[in-house]
Amino acid sequence: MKGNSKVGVAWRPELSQFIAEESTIAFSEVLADNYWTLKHLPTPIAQLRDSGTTIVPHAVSLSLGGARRPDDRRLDLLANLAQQLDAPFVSEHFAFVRAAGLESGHLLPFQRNEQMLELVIENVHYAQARLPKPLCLENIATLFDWPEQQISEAEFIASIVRETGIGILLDVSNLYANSVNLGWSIDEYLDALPLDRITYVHIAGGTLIGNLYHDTHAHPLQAGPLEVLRKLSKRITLPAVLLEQDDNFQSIESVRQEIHMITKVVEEQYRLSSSSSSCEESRLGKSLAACEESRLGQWLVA
Amino acid sequence: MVSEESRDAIENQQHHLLEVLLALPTRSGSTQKNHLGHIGVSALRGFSPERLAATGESLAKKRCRTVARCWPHLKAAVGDSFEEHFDDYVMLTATARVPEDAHEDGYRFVKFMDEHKLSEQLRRRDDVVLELLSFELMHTQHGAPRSLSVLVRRLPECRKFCIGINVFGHNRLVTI
Repeated sequence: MKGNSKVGVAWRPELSQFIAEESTIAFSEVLADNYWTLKHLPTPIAQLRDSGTTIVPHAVSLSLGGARRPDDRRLDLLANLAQQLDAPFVSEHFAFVRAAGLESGHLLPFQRNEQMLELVIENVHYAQARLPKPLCLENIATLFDWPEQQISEAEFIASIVRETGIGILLDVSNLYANSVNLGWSIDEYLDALPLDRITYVHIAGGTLIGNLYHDTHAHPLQAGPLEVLRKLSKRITLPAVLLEQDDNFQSIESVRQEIHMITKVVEEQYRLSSSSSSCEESRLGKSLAACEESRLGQWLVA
Repeated sequence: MVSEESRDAIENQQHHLLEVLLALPTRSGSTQKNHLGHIGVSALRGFSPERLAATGESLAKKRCRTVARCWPHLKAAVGDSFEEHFDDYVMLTATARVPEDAHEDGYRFVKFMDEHKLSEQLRRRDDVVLELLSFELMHTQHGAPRSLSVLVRRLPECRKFCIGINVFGHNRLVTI
């Protein structure tokens, strides 16, 4: 496998050469929906796979939080792409994107109550039965929420994980966005989430417009999401962390700097944990040990 | 097991929310409705109208940016009015068949511009003709993938012909 760090970068055509040449990039991710109808992988992606870089297909249109079961054709396309990439797992979102013929074009939150919990569990089971690889689901960023939510997002995710065995793709930027936009407590969120089920982490740039934080993937990486990553690192051994950037690729140097900022947080943790002789006996130590045993993210260490 | 009636009820709620989000103004300062004829922020009890408005704008911008990334030559050819035309396309085709991905979305955008006689300049550019040819070689008009296809296009700027061949998903373009 290429790279010896735990930091990856999402594959975009503009970053293709950088990802291929940067020896420290351990893994990548492709936007599955952009490539799953192609008969063959684009050459740069195929070459990256052949070079030993792990590539995860990341889908956005299964609508697992939608009222209908995910459609077989999309699931089969994702399954086929996962096979072509030889991916260890596939990822999607806790979101809906369509309803009765209307398409949002992006990820939207759904109502969180017992009925939706049952529905999402059924949808996830349906998807799992058709996918050849384990499924991980990501928390989304949102500017609004449904009124009278009965279950917190972290508790909702915990229930889905318990019932279906999926992995969690924790997007720390999305969590930060929701803490700003919806007033969520990051600590309470992390308290309720089964952290040992986090397979990997997303982080991305964003910007504050008025009093709303927009997770644009097109602005520089802000201190807020890095702080959430740091908070997470105080609770568990950080799994692999992937930087997402979708636009404004003026400078590869800025991407390199952001990788460096993420790597610093990851390395800080290793320094702290190795300097603590009583770590194994502490709550953190137990959490780390449990995490290391159960995490799907073992793939990255292997 | 969730009953079909329950799924229908959830779908109605989500559909109503989507109608509102897609009908919201997508252009700064604009208050136009789409052809759903529907502005229903106030009808969605309990939601914040300001947050829904911000989300509606954000959704439209993200979709526009995604298509622009997948169609760089088209984006360059349309220039500064790309967002404005794309907004019109989104507003006026909200209930059309859902594009499979941003490549198909961009292709439908070009078709929309054709219908509204906005694409004449675009089709005079070699790079846009080649970008369209690459898509058409790989996909049918309905977005389904093709395994084999041969297409010929005239390149208006260099006044040559380009023969495009798709063999099992691999495109080859030859200019003569």
